Amino acid sequence: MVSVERVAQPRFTWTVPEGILPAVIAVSATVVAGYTASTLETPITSEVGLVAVLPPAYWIGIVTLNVIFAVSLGRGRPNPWLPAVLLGCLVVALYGAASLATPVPRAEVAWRHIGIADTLLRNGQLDPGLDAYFNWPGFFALLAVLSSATGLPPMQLALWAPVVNALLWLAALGLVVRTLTTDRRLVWLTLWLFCLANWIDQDYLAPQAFGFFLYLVVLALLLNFLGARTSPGWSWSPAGRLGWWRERLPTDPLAARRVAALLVVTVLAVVIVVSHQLTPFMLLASVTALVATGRVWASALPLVIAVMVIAWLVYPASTYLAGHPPLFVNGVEAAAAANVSERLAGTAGHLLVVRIRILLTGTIWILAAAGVLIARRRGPHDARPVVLVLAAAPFALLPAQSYGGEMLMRVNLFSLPFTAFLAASALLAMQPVLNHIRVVALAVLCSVLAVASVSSRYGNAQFDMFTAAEIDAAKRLYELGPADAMLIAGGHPTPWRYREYEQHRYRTVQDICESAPDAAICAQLVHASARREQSGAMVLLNRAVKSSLVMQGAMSDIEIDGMEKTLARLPGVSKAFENEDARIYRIEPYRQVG
Amino acid sequence: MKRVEWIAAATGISGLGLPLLLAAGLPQPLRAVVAFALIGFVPGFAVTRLLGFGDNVMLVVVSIALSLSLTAAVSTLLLSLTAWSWLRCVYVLGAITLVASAVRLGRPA
Repeated sequence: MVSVERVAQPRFTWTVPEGILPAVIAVSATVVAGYTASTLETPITSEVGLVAVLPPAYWIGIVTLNVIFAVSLGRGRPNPWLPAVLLGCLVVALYGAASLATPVPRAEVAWRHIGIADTLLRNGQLDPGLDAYFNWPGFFALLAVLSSATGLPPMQLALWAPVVNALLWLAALGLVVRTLTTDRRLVWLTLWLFCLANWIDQDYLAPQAFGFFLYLVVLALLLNFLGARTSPGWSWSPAGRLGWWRERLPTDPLAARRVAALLVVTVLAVVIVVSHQLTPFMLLASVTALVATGRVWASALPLVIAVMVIAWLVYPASTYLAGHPPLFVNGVEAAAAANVSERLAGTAGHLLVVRIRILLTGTIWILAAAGVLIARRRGPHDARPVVLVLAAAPFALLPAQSYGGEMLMRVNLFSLPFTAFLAASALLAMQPVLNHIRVVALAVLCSVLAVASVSSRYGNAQFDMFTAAEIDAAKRLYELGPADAMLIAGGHPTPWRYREYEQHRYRTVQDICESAPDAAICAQLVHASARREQSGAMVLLNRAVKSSLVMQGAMSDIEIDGMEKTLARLPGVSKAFENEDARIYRIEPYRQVG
Repeated sequence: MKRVEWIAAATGISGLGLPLLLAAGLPQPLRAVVAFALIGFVPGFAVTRLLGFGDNVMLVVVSIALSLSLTAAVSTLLLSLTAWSWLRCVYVLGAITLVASAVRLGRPA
């Protein structure tokens, strides 16, 4: 018998390095999602915002990213850089959708912030008497240098601010979370959930976005270099508790590095205090909670931050402080009314968006609660107590300020990094390697959260994304009006105040007519307040304002049109400009006698 | 020269060169890149390396936070002194970078 020996033929194989293929698919999915978002046209007509008008290809891109992420977590040790690429793609697809759809920043506040920075760089000095912003000028001073030195139009900086801020937040949050766990999957899932659940929309060009980044970096420095270890024993007596607290030891043995970290923390805290009203209080609450629970070594730090906050309020911000206490106890009931129940009004579409926001936040909180209860116990290295402290600390401020009805949202933002961590702990509980069913479940959950995130974040797109005609009308408002005329807009969603910020008095019909019983009286009030001005006033009524008033249930279509018709007929009123999305009326002042 | 010292020397040169490049006037997008580097990274990087914090991710994130904070602080101070100009602010940032790099270079190996 002849045996035939099989000779192995040399094979030319080309193997793709692990992680490359999913990364290429993820980048392609992001390009597709981004391209489809860029094909949208303003105005967005749906009452539920972008979610209703984004094409199917966008959603395919979003679902693809979530599936790849869930699969990558399914491995025991995920490739170290693939989740980073995926996270970058998710940020661009979610946070950059509106920036790709329109060439101008959305939300009126970003336009106002550009105007404040413009005032600083034109005048070269601070005037705290102008308004509250000039009492906390740090961020605007930074923005003035940034826009001048780069030579880029401030609108471009504002347009991409959400993407840049989200990336900075995630980088800083990554540093915080990796001090809490050695499980890399938990770190990445926390960042992913934070990205999905952050519908709060505070990442535009704003002091709070800058302050939140610095806040996270401060926490990262505290937990990395200024952390403390406590003994496992516990005493309920005050003396025993004090002894337990005093016996804590620094986690970083290098004293020089602790001092260096404390110096950097102090610099960042100073800039937070100088830049934003609310963030210093959030920082103070979190740092105090960490020190009180023996998690941070620098016991004097809360006192240092408190002195900074008080010193700033007493002197540089004293102009604003008169009549505007930074904190006053409203009570939880008042806070809940201003933050939740007063928002549950408006059209069916708007109500749906509000409910999705509540549901999205509630889901993360329920998962976080599960994380507290069922996540794997890690003995003395269990991070859950410190995470709970950081998640709960911002709530101390909830009854102290309604913050224009936004306090609950701000509290939610400051809690989110830690509720996301607990939620991620629940999803990964006791599973070193996720089985196929759990990978599929995770992909489905993340995809659903992504849809809810887009619905929540861009739910006001009908009135916070402006058309070219509205931008043009706002520009004409400044060109047509006298230099010192009062400028009146229908409401807050108006792309104005980006220039000549300090040269005009600004009011809105919404504010003037707060107590007006009907449209005719509203028109009379606007007319009277305009004519009393020495140079009269210019009134801009645009599409976005009308949408916002109707959607939020403040006024009906008929009332708004009735108010405009009545105003147009009153003496001294003439139409100065009109296009498809806006009209400008000039209101002459009362004739001077003598 | 050790690698560490090369980085400190290069950072110091950036502290000197980037403000001068901005003052001289650069075409876009070079101007934006140089300005972002100086305002958002270089001074913080020089100071953070001096302090010896952890790994590269920590170094980069703290450098960005510190640079932006230093820019905000310097700009606010100049506004308070009614001496504000963006170029003056950029020069101060360059000076901070130079000093931090010089201290790093002057340290015994």
